[in-house]
Amino acid sequence: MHHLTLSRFAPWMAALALAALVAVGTTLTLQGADHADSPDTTEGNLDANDLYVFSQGDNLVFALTVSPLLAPGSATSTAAFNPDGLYEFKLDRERDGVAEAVIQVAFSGTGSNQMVDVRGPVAVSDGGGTTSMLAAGPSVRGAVNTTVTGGGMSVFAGPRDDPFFIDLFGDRSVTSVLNAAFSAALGEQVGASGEQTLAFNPQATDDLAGLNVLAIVVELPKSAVASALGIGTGDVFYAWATTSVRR
Amino acid sequence: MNTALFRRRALPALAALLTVTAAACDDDTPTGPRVPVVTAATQVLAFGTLDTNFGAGMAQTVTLTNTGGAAVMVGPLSVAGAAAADFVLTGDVQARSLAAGASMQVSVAFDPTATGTREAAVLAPTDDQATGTVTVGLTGTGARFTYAQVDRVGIPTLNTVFNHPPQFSKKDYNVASPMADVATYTGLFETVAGAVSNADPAATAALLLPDELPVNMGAATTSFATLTGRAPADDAVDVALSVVVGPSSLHSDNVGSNDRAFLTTFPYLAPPND
Repeated sequence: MHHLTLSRFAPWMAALALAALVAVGTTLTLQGADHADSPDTTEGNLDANDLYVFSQGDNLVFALTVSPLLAPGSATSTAAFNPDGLYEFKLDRERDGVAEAVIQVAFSGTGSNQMVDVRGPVAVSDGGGTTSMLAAGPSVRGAVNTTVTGGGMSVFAGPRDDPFFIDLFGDRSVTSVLNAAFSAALGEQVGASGEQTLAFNPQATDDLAGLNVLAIVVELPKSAVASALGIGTGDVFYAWATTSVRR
Repeated sequence: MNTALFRRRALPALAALLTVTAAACDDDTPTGPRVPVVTAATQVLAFGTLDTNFGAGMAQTVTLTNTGGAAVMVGPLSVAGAAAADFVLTGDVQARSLAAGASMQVSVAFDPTATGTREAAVLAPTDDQATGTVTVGLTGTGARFTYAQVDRVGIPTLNTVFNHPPQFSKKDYNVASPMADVATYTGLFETVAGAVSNADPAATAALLLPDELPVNMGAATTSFATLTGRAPADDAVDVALSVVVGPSSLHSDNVGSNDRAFLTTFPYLAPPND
């Protein structure tokens, strides 16, 4: 319905031209959203896709998706979280990049027999980057791919339909628009020839439809978050999620 | 071992024979007397290295089988040894009569309370005096791991777009703390936003940095559009476009909803596609 037109988008192109001046000669890989954008790991299960935090009555729900673009069938049924990994929801009271509370999620075992451990929210002082497991706090453990309750929370960890929706690939997709902008800015074609139009498709399709991810969903009372952060249950905080791996 | 077993078995007074070596028993008693032979499927269970703060790791199974010809009393099972407290025994550990050919199983999980090598054993006493108690060794290592960040995600979509120029290393961004975001990325974000007619560059950069998702616990409904959180059904791409292109413009990739309906109850995300 609302299309990005060439004229409307021209200023952004100019900006990209500025930003990309020194990029000539660099191989460009263009990806939408935050999917498949962790070049430092080949482990899809450490590739953080999307973070969701939303109210559910007196509770808050935290969700993190990893392992992008899982095809249905064996790719999904054999997908597992990283047993050497640590998945965290970081909660920040002041928006200064230092978490005052954290929820930690870790896994043991392999395949569909994995166990998930969740601990938190626990007050910490952690800027992120390097971390270790907490010694104390509310915790729950149970099998993956089922709802586990305990420690004041509900936990689900396992395959889900990718909740993110986007026209990611093809002509007049988000990738197409980014390609076109960069191609114009660089004076050389960036991305595939079929993905170079600077406009969106009125009949767009969700290119993540039918694909799965691994999801971690934790629901817990707002009061637990507020208590760990030292704020009220009607206050604002700031969240991000990380994936980490054992050194 | 074989020699010892054979000698013991030859004693007529013995009602039962217990061993943890199944092969030896089978070899020795092709046509032997009706005696119970309790064997453990594994003599030593190794649990690997686990963080002392992790909680119990994956449980392993202890299987005891009476491969002999008569019933025997086994149990109650327990854990003993220097690090007995680090191994959690679950299942039916009570004493019971194990019929000829029958098996019993219990689970053991490793939950290290200290770093270093941790060792103990499962003890399965029997009423056979000759072999007494069957033991299964338990070994593991406690450690304190440190973790290195691999990836991060906060505000959906926006920072991927703004960090698109390849001279800004995606890896550096992924492994960084949001602490440095303002100092590192404000210039880039303002440069990009500065050429967008409807957006105030400084305000846009301030909105997006540090890369943390605002959550307003007091909001009646939380959504990315109002920067009060992010629900699965929120159209993050369109919100991102409206921010990048300008607040008065409403642009869309024309994909307004997920392919599968979200659930109204936990865990909210739709089941995987088959």
